[in-house]
Amino acid sequence: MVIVFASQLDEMAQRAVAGWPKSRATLLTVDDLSTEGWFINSNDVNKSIIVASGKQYSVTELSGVVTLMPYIVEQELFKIEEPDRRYVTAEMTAFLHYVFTILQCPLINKPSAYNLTGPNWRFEEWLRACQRVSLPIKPYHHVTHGETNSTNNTNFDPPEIRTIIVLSNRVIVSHAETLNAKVLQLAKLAAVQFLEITFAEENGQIFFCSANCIPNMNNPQVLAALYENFEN
Amino acid sequence: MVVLWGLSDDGPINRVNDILQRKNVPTLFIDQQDALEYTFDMTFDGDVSGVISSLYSSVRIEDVHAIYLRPYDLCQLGIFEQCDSTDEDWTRTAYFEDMMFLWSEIANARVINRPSSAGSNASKPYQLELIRQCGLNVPATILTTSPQRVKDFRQKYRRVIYKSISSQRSIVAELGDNNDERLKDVVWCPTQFQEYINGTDYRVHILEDKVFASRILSSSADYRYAIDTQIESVTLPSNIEEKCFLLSKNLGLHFSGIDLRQSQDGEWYCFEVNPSPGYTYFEDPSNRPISHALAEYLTQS
Repeated sequence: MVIVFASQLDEMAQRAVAGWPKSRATLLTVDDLSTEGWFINSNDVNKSIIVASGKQYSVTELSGVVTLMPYIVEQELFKIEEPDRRYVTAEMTAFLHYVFTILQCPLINKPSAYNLTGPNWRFEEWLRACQRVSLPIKPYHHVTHGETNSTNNTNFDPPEIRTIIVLSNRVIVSHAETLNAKVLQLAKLAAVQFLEITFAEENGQIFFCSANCIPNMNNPQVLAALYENFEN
Repeated sequence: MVVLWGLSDDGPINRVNDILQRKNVPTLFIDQQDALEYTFDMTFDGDVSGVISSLYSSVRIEDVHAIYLRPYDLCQLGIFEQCDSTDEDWTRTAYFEDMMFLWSEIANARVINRPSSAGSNASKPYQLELIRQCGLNVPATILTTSPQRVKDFRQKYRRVIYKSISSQRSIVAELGDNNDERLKDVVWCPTQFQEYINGTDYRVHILEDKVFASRILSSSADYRYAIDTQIESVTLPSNIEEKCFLLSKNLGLHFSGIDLRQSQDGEWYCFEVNPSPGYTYFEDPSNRPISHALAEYLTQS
């Protein structure tokens, strides 16, 4: 069974799960974390029980996890009284971080502290990682009391955006094929199975623009690759 | 240049600041509550460069060789208690804080501690797993939303404690006989329960290759909140000391506070690692060896 952790309001995730081949996926929502049945024994994690879509599963039944929410937000806690929500969001996020860490099955992606979907990197940390794998970057400038902009931003034409998406060490979408190998290296450096990188092209020069670790379940190519990934 | 970032009434950062001032080490102390007075101008082009400036000072971040950060949760600070996220001062302060965290992460400097290294403390059971991997014993632990599982666990271990698993501070409490009604509440949120280890508490501070160990004598399950707590300096068995060094190193922490307990039958257990320890509680005010060691560490290039 593949677990898809998503917002209760995420209709794309619901559709993706409903269309999963052989019905081998189920949704895990914040609602499930307020349901009796969870049991993790840290001395014997293989005997642990999780709850997804209201049903209990042994962790040994799980064949994969896809995480679509980086952390739990108070607005998802419909069952929790308002004064307790801040505390409960922190506790539930901490709990899922641990649970996803102890699972033996493939994770998209492995959680990190403060982010259940992968590394909790800011833009500059992605820039630094890009630099390490020789992906082209453009200097970035921050000022707390003023505007934050890329430097030398004098080109008012919108840049052309090129995307590369990798899943499990395989390029599944590429609009900049010469950079494929380096993006695969970047995914390895970031320790993620899924990574979507965009590059901007300005005046004939291409440079890193953004990184996203959450699969877009509305993208047919991503969804097909995810289905195939867990089928294998 | 050393940058200290925290609250002016915070003991640990103040003691280090006092020592740095006495040694005439160039130091910028950024009081978290004065963030609005500062501008942070940062450029990343592969290397990080920029300036932190206020009316009174201006520091090139390339000249900073050490950072000691002990920021508190912004939302808990008195001046922002009544603010919401649309308040301009709050937004500007939050932005400055974010840049300080970012810089602490990527600065080419000694940092106590990088925010990413401190992250394991945000999930206590996750951290417990890392502790176990270093060869230290950890108490039997369950996390559950099932009251019956808790009852079974308590029946097996007889004495059981519960506490928060996130970085939200909570008081460690023992599960009593009359908790059946409260136990029903575990359905709402997975809760951690641990076997109670009867024994003596130790707090071990690791600063790179230095160790400062204290024995804590208290009648309470959570000595931080007891009035009869006594603290004394001790030397740990060498095998336990080695595991503490390994643990701090594996977590990527230059400075850490490790909570140990020696059970009555002599076994050592580890409960938690604090990546931003409030070490002054354990430090003899007249001696201050940890403060001095910290200041020395920060001034080394």
